[in-house]
Amino acid sequence: MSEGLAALERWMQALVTHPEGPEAGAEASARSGGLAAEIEHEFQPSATLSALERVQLYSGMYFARLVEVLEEEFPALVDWLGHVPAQALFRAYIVAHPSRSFTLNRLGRGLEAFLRDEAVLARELADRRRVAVELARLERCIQDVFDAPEGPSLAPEALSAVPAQRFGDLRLVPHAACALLDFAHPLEAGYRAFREGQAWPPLEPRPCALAVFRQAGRVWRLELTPPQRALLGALFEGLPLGAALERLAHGGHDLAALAPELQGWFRTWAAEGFFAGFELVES
Amino acid sequence: MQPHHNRWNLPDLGLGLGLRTQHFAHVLEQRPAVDWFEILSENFLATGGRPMQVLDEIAAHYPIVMHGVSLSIGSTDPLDLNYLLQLAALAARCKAVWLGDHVCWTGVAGQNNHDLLPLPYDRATLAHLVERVRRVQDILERPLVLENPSSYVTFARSTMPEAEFLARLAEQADCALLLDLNNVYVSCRNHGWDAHAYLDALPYERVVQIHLAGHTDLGTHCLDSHSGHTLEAVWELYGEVMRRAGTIATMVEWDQDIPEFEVVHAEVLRARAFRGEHARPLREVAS
Repeated sequence: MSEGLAALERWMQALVTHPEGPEAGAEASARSGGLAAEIEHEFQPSATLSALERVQLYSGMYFARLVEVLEEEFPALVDWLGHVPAQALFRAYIVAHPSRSFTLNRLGRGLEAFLRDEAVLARELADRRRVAVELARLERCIQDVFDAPEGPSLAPEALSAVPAQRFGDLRLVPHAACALLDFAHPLEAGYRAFREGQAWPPLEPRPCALAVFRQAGRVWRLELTPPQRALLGALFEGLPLGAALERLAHGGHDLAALAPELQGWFRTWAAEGFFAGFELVES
Repeated sequence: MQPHHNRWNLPDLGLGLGLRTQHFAHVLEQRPAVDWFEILSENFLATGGRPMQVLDEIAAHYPIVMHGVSLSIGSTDPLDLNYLLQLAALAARCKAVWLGDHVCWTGVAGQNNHDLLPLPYDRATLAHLVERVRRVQDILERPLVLENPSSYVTFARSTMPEAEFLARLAEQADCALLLDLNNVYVSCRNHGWDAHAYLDALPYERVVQIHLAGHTDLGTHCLDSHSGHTLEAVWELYGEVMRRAGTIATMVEWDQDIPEFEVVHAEVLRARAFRGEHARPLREVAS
């Protein structure tokens, strides 16, 4: 490996990615023991642009490109915060969490955690931060479910082969393209309003649970009632159906009242591809 | 005009298009008259959703070429073996006729800036790239097809012209070249180079593919925006290359403000006129 080339690349990366521009990047490189070079000495001017102006093209494109990627991944978050504050947030995030993957699909993976830091949003947006964190989680989950590995889904009719007396031993395997999310605000109502081009409804604190799943290549959302969420959560943890129902009962849910609905729930969940398969465990 | 022969006898695939999400439905439903499609490799790595389903179906009807942006062949970071293995798996899945990337680096110290950053053209850089290209080709067990980049800076430490650097790289690493004529035009405009001298220096026996695309002229410099129609000056370079080298697999890129399929397809039909007697009919439905 060429040491000269290695030092040059680290120096140029510092120039291109510094939030205050290439000159600040060059100073930072020199301060940190990297290449202490003059921009005008390393780069040649053109007939129309100075060396600095030319390298500024790269730094401008760096932030513009990555901010655009995040804007596409988190459109509801941008709408919730406002375009200018969202751009500032994304720039700060890119500085703190530069991409380390070959794919841009993973760029936004750390945004929810980044938003949890109160300091990353301007003070006037402080009251928007809690919902913003949840929107970041929802929109990131949509991307992850879209990209989740391929695999067959459990056909609804497959369960009919299971003898009724063995239902309690049924362990359902969650599909990789299905995720369960819990929010402290009515995110589904808010997100649906955004998608339909309507104003944001009041998002006062109220629990909301969603299943986010992929069907025919598209990502969908299904709001879950508390017993549905509790039962699916237990099943996704790997509990057999009998044990999952026991946990539901211990959680205060009235199994007798829910019994008529259970078959319909499972029919929907299987039809929507929530499960990849099943196995029977020994009770 | 004679068909072009390259060092590997890779086929002249005819006239192709970049496969873009906006055109998925049209391609699946209409099976348009295009000889082949080029995919952006990274759009089909680390995803298991609709893109893979679409690719499987299109690959069953058209030849596919893979073109990447994250190989970072010029970086001084270690090669990413996991990435290379995923490339190889994708190539096997879609039966890619060939695969390639750019003569550039995209990041260092573990970072990916997702830009095709330029390299200084000197002997040390050449030796670095030759060694890495050979290793990649050993892993992928096929020639790598490397594209000339567009760039906005040149390095004071460069000691040879870009075209000479590419020719030496292709010869010493025994790799293939993708000649992006829009990039030739953009870089020549930005750096005051002579495009015809650039074309003079290339080893055409190693050129297996050509890119055509639009760019944005901002007055002080040209931006390789891949938006809009291919400009006349780039078509002239295309005609010159066809006269020099014969017909070479050619593909039209359009990545910003992507219009309806027919608009991009019209560029393909225009390219057909440059192929002279070897302008075979574009297939109605590939089989």
